[in-house]
Amino acid sequence: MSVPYRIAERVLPERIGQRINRKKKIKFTFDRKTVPAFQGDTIASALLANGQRIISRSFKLHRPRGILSYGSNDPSSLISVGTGASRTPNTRATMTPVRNGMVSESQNNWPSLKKDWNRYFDRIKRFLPAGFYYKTFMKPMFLVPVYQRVLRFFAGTGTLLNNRDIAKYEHYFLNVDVLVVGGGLSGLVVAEAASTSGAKVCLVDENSFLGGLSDIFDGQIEDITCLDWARKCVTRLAENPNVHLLPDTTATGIYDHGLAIACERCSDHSKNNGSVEERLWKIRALHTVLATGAIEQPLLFPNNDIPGIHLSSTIRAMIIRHAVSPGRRGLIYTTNDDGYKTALLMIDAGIEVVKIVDARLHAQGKLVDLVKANGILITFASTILEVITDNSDIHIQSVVTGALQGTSGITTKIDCDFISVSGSWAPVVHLWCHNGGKLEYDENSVCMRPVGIHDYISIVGSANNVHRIENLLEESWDRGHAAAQHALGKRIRKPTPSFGISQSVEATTSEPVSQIVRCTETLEKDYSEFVDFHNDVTIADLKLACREGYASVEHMKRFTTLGMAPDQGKTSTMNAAVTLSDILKCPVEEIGTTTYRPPFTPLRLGTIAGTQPEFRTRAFRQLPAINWHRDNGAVLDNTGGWSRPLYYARQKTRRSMAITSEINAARNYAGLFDASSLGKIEIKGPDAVKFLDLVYATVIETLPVGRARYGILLNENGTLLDDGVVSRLRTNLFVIYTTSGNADLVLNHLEKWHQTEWPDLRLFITSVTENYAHFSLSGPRTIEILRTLEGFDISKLEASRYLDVWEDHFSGIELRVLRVSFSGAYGVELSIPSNHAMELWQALMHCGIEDSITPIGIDAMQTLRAEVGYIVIGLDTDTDTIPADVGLDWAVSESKPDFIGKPGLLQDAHIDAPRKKLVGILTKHENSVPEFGSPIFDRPHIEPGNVIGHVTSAYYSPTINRSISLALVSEKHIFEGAVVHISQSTGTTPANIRLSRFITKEQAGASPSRRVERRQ
Amino acid sequence: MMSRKIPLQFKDKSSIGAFCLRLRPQNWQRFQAAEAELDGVLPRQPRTLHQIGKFRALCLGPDEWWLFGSAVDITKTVQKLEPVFSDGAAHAINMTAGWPAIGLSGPALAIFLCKVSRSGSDLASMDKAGGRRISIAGIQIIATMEFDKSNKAHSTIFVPRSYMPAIKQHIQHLAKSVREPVLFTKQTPPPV
Repeated sequence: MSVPYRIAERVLPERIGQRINRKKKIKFTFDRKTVPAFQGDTIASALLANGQRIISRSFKLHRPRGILSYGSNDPSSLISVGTGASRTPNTRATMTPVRNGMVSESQNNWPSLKKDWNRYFDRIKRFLPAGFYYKTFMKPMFLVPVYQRVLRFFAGTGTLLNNRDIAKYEHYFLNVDVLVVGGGLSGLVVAEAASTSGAKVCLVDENSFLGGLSDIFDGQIEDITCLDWARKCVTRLAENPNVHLLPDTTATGIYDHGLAIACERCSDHSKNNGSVEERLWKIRALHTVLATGAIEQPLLFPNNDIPGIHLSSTIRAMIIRHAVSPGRRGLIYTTNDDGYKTALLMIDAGIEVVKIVDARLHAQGKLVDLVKANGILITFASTILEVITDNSDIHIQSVVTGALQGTSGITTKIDCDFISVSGSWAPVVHLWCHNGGKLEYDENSVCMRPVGIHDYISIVGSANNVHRIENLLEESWDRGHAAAQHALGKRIRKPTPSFGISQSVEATTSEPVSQIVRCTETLEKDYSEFVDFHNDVTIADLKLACREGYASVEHMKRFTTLGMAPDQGKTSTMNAAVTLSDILKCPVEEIGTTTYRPPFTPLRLGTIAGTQPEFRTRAFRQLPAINWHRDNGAVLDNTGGWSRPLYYARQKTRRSMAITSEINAARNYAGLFDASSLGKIEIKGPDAVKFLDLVYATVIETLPVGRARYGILLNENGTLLDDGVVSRLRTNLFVIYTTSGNADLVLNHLEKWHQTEWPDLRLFITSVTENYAHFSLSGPRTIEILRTLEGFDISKLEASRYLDVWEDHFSGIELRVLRVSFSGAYGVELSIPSNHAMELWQALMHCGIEDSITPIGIDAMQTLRAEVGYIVIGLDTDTDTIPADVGLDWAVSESKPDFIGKPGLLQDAHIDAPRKKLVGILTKHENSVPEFGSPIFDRPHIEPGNVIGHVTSAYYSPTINRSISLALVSEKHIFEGAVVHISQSTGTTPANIRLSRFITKEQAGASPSRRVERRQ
Repeated sequence: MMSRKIPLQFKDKSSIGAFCLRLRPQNWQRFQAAEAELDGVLPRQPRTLHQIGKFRALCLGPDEWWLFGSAVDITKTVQKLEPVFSDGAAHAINMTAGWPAIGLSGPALAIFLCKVSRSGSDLASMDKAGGRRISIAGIQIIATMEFDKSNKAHSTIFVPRSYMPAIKQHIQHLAKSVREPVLFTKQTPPPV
C-alpha cells in the first residue's frame, strides 16, 4: 500500500522522521478505511501521510477541517477512538499515538465525512450568524421543545457512550517543593536548577516526549544541538532521585495554595500496567514554575480554515518527527522568522516552496539570505487575498496573493496544494491566569505576556515571552534556583549552571509587526475569515457582536462563543483581540483577553470521579457486635451513618410480627438494644462544668457526681441542635451522649465554641464513641437478668435512682452503668470497651434466656419511644424548632445568665409569631398508620391553604393495639380531642389530637418485676 | 493479610494499643509529671514521632499526643497516669478498644499513601519518623511513618473500629494497583 506523503528514508535520515520506527509497520482504521502507519505516528501524522486532509467537520457550519496545529492546541482534529464500551469521543488526533488495530472515526458528519449533508449550512452561513439561534428559536414558546430536539440533533461534537464506561481511573496525591509545568528547554533547566539546589521537584509535560520544540528549532547549547542537549538534561534529571518526571501529563489547572491538577494519560505508553487509563494528580507544591511555552497563532485571510492550511511549526514537526509532507507544493505566509525556517526545512525534505509571502514591510539577515540562496521568491508587505479550492472545498488548488492594505503591489495567483501560516508566538498563559496572574499586551510580539509577581508561581521561557535560547536558559536557571529557595525557605548558594555557551539561529531583523494583518473589508470575505476555528466564529460575527453592543471582550465571548469549548482560546484569543481592536478603533491593551479558566484541556468525567464507583460511596460504620446481629437474623439498614439492625427476622417472621414481638418483650420482659452508635464525648478539666453550662440550655452546674441529666443543645438562633444525657462520672469528668447521626456535629460544635469563644477554659474534649459499645437493656426483668451477670454488683442497681450513673464490672472489665431508658420501661444502659462488646452482649443474652430477653432493633425502639412521647431530634423537629415547640421548655434554664441560643430564644419570631407544636395524633381508624411527613389539614378537603402541620413519626403500637403518631401542628388548632385530617394516598383520614402520652407508666413497664415463672 | 503479588503488605496488629494524651503546653508542671511517668521526653513538634519509654509518641498537635505500644503496657500506664491527672488539668484516654492498629509495609507503601489522599501524600513525603491524621475514603485515621535500619519505610495506622471493615476493603482495593508509578527514584529517561 503506497503512502503518498511519507518522506523517503533516504532524505536526511538522521534528522527527518525521528519519532517513527520505519521497521515497525502498523495499521489502523479511520472511517472504516485501513490506514498504514509506522510505530511512533500520531493519528494526525498517519492520516496526513496517507493524503487524508480532512479530519472532521466544524461544529456549526460543518466546514471541512484538517490539521492546523500539532499538539493539544489543535482546534479541529477531534475524532472518536475505540469501539463499543471502550470508545472515547472527542480525542485529539494530534495527540493520540497510533496503535495496531486501532479503530477511529470522524465526528459530526452524516452520512460520511466527505459528503456530509449538513455541509450546506456553509452555503447559508450569512443567515446563521452568532446569536441566530437565541433570537430565532424562541417563539412560539410551545415549539421550543421541538426546536431543542432538532438543534440537539445537529449540534455537538461526538456522541456519549450509552453504556457504562469500562475505563479505569485513579487519583494520586503528591507533595513537592517545586512543580515545573512544561518539559521544554526552560522547564528542564528549571527542574535541574531547583533539584541541584536541594528541592524535591516534579516536572509534568503534556507530551510523551520531553524537550518541547527543541527538535524543530535550530540552535546550539555547549556546541551541540538543542535536541542533544535536552536529551542529556533529561537523562540527568531521570537519574536524580530528587526529581520525578511525568510525561504525558497535562496540568489542567492551578488553584489556591499551590494546588495543581494534572491528568496523566496512562494506557497508551508502555510504562503502565494497562489497568488504568487516566490518572488525576493532585499536586501540592510550595512553588510552581510555569514553563508552558508558546503557541503559534494562525493568520486571518479568506478561507483560512481549509484543510491543507497548517501552522508553520506543525509542518516542521510533521516533517522532522514523522517524515510526513503536508503536500507537494507549499506556500508560506508569515509575519516572523518562523516561515523562513519552515521553508529551509521543506527544501531539505524535497518539498517545493512556491513562495514566501511575508506580511512585514521588510526583513533581512541570515535566514533571508539562506532562503534567497535557495531560489525562493519572497514578497514583503503582502498577504493572501484568496484561497481557491476544488469543488469539494477540501483540496487547495491555488492562492491569490497581493499587497497589504495601504501598500502597492501586484496581485498574483500561484498554484500550490498546502499553505504554511505563522502569525506570532503567543505565550501559554492560561495556568498563570488561573491563579490571578495579570497580562499585558506586547506590541512588538503581538501577544499577551505575563506581568507582575506571584507569591508562589513564576513563569519562564517563551511562556514569559523570552524566546532567544541564550536568554531563556539563563532566566530559567535563575528562576529554578529562586523557586527552590522559596520552597525550602532558606538562602541557598546558587549552583553553577550546567550549560555553557548557547546561541540561537535567529537571523532576520525587521520592523515589529504592529498587528495581525488583514487585507479585506468586503462583507462576503468577512464571513470566511475564521477567528475561532472550533466554534466557527468569523470576523463577521465579531462585527455583529460589536453592532449589537457586545463590545467588551467578555460579552463578545458569550455572544459568539469565541474561546469556549476545547480550544479555550489557544489559537483564537489574540486574533480576536486584534480584530476587535481594529473594529472598535481602540488599542489592543484596552480590549484585553477573555478570562482563562480551568481546565486547560478537557478532562473526562471518569477522570474527575476517580477510582472504582463502589468506593466512591460513603462507608457505613459497623457496630462492635455486628457479627452477632447478622448471625441472628438482623435486617440491617444504614441510618445515622451506621449499619444497624432494623429488626430481627428470626424463623422467617414477617417484619410487623417481629417488631410486635420485640416491643412486647421490652414492655413485659426484657429487650436488649445495641445503642453503640450513640455519640459519646468525654469532657474533662477544671472548667468542664463552666463550659457545659455555656453550651447546654440545661443547668449542669448543680449536677452531682454519679448523676446524669437530660440536656439540650441549641444553635445560636435558639433552635434545637441535639439532645442527650450529660453524666458526671467525676468532679472534672463528664460524658455526654448525643444522637447517632449528630455525634460529629456536636463534637465540632463543642470544639468550635471552645476554640473560638472560650479558649481560656481549661478542658479537653475527646470523642470516645469508638471506644465504648453501649447496650440498652430495658423491661421489667432487667434487674433479674443483671443479677446473674458475672462480676456485676446488683446491689448498686437495686439501690439506684433514675438517672444515676456509676462504674461497675463485668468479668473484670470496667462497665459504665447509666440508669436511663429511651423506651419508658425500667432500664439501664451499659457501656463497655468496644473490644469486649461481643462478650457482654452474649452474656446478657445468655443471662436473660429465662426472662425471655429479646434483641430489639431500631423499628421497635422507635415505636417504644413514640408510645411514651420521647422525641428524636431531626425527625420530630426541624431546623426551626425551638424547645417550647416540642415540650422541652422545662429543660431550658431561665436562671442561667448565658448559654448558646439564649438570645435566639428571645427573638420575636420565637415568642410572638404563631408556632407549630408537637402533639400526639390518634387516627379514627385504628389500623391506619399515616406516612411520615403527611400534611395535616383542618378540614377534609385537600387545599394548600388548609395545611396546619405534618406528621413527624407514625407507628402501630402493639401495646395499645392502634396507630399512634407525633405531629407538628399549628398551635391555634391544638386542644385535646381536636379533629384534624391527615392526607393519605386515598384522600384524608380523620384523627384526633392527643396532648398526653399514649400509654401509662404501668403499660410501659416502668417498674421492675421479679421472675415469677418461666414463660411458656 | 499478606500478598505475594502486591508489594504492599498489611496485617492486623492486635497486640498494639494506644492512648491519647491531652496536656496544655503552658502547664509545664503537668508536663514534667507526665514525662516522668512516661520515662522520656514528649515530642514538641507536631507530626514528629519519638520513642518515649516503652512507647512511640506522636505529637498530633500542640496539646495532643498519640502514644502507642504494647496494649498491656498502655492499660497499665493509663491507670498510673489517672491519679496524676486527677485534677482534670490533663487527660489520658485509653484508645486501644476503639482504635485498632494495622501495620503497612512494602516498597509500594509511599505510592499507596499517595493514592489515599493529599494528607496521605504528605505522610509519604516524610523522610524521617513522623505521623499525622490522614484521610482514607473520607475517614479520618491516625498514621505513622517510620524507617528501619535499612531505611525501609513502614507505617502503623490506627483506624476507628467501626470503620475497620470499610478501611480494609479500601486498602485492599487500592493496594491492587500500587505498582506504578514509582515516585522519586531513578527513572528510565522519557524520550526526547
